Amino acid sequence: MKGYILKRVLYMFITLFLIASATFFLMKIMPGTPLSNAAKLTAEQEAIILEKYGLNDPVPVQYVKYMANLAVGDLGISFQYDGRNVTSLIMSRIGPSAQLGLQSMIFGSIFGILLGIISAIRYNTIWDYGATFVAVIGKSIPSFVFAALLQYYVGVKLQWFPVAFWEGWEYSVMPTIALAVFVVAVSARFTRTEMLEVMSQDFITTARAKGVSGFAVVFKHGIRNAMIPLITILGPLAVGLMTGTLVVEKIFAVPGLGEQFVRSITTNDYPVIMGTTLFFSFFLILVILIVDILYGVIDPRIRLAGGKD
Amino acid sequence: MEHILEVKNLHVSFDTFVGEVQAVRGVDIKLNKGETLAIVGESGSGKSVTSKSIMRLIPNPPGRIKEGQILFQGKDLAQYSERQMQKIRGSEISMIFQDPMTSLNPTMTVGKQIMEGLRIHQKMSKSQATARALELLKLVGIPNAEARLKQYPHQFSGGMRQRVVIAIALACNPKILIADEPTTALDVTIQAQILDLMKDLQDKTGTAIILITHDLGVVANAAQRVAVMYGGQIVETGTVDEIFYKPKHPYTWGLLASMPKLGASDTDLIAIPGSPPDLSDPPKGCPFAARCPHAMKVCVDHMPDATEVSGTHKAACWLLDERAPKVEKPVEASVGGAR
Repeated sequence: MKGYILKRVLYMFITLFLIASATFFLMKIMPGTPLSNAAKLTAEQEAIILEKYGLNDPVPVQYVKYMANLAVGDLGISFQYDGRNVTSLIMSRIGPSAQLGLQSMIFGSIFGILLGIISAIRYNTIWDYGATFVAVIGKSIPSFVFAALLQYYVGVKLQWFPVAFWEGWEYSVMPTIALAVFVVAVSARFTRTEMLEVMSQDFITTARAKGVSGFAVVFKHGIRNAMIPLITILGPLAVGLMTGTLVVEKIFAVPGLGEQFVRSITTNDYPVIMGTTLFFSFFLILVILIVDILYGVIDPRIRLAGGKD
Repeated sequence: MEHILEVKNLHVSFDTFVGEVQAVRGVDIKLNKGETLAIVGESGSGKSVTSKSIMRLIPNPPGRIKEGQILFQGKDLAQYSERQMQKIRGSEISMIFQDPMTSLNPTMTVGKQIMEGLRIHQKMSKSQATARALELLKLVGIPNAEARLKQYPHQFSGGMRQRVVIAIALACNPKILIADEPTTALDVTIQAQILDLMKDLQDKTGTAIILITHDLGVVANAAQRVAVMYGGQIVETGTVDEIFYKPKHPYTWGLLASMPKLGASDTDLIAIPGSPPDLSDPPKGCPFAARCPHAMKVCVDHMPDATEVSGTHKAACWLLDERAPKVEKPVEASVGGAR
């Protein structure tokens, strides 16, 4: 197991290196320079600034320099925020994004899994149709529509929660719900399909023949065997939510990572683009590793295969 | 003799999109204490549905018990609620299933699966249940039981898994054990071991066994009495000797004739021509009439009543009527089969 994790961590660094390289060159192909929007600069001033940030060097030289800095953990300095370190910039923005992501993930998956289980054990009844309806709505209508509806009805009409900004926990409620709708839909659909499959298996009949109650059959024998495909999709979904969901953050004026990422692209703020991309990739790979380890925890058959590796 | 289980006129139907399928149509079974009763029949004859109905494990919907009684120690299980049945299942009546590869939970240790029933029914503490599980594993002949207890089903071979399934079923000393084709999915050598084990355990515990099978070789070796099922009905019932040496129903003749015999060449494999009746539209008369070489006009229109051949032997066939022509069993069936 230890050897397996070590190997996976090594792969993780190789993957990050490849992502960093690809992003770096793609970014250089993008039109414009970081100064494209600053119309008031003279050609001379521009040259001085480009020289100062090392943007006049040939691209391969810039690449080697960047990678050398990256190797020691230095993500560079932002262009748009005068002299601010990219790492601290990301760290100052990750808080709200992570909180929203985590909250919507926990709320969404618990609610979705319960909905899916109800669908599966009340298969082809009004309960199942109701849950399926909720899931289809949640998956097909984009989150910003829910966000706008929530703002208008819950925020403006009912005035239960603040409409926007980020000044306390109550400010996180509506964006969390708006983000969770999709999570609910996805996990409900997957849970339903998997539970239907699992509940028709022989070992479920064995458990019932032992005198295990219906509730315990579902929760002790059913769910665990339905978990594998579920965590496969929920893991990466969680990363996406936690590292910032642009539209919802924008609508609720949440100072999160997603909002910053878009601004860095429109202003060609290279170090921030690189930093955010790498940060996101790092999280994604980490979560995939955790999901792989979780497979083994959930299913002993996978655990052994990994152990021999 | 005291009956521990008596099934009376059991009708089980499934409501499907093609209409009602009458899987079991008026089955009567009597099971004595400590005996082994084999229910024999081909696929779709209703033998598994009958056994699952006794445990009330038929999913409802689509399945339902339409009519009849399932008397266990004088109480009608057909009227029991789900909660009442949960107390019976695993403690009074247990079941083992056909395929040991799929009948154990892959994500739970074998020990936990054995202990589960003990903790529910006998309210054992964890250490008591562990001790009993250990004892059970030894009883069913699994070596190195302490280590095996903590292992998962995929670490066991098919035969070993079936031993675990038996250990689970016998954990709470049930009065009845229903074995639904317990050896069908196993190698022939392992089949013999499992049957011997079941016999051995029956001698020790006095559990009555209902053995569902389509393998007459298994029946000859393991059972005292046999019920032959066809088209959702029991067509003949008797002791093993009566069924093998003095069978009265043409379907039983066919079953016995289709047993492969030692020394016969491949071309001698005999089959009963035709296929079982469609139970969504069951025949009015005898369900076997369409395939029976001795069928008469009356067979098609009227279902024969069971005729008592001896105190233990009954068959439902018009040939046993005094007005019918004398037809004898065509070929001498040999006893023994696969073992």
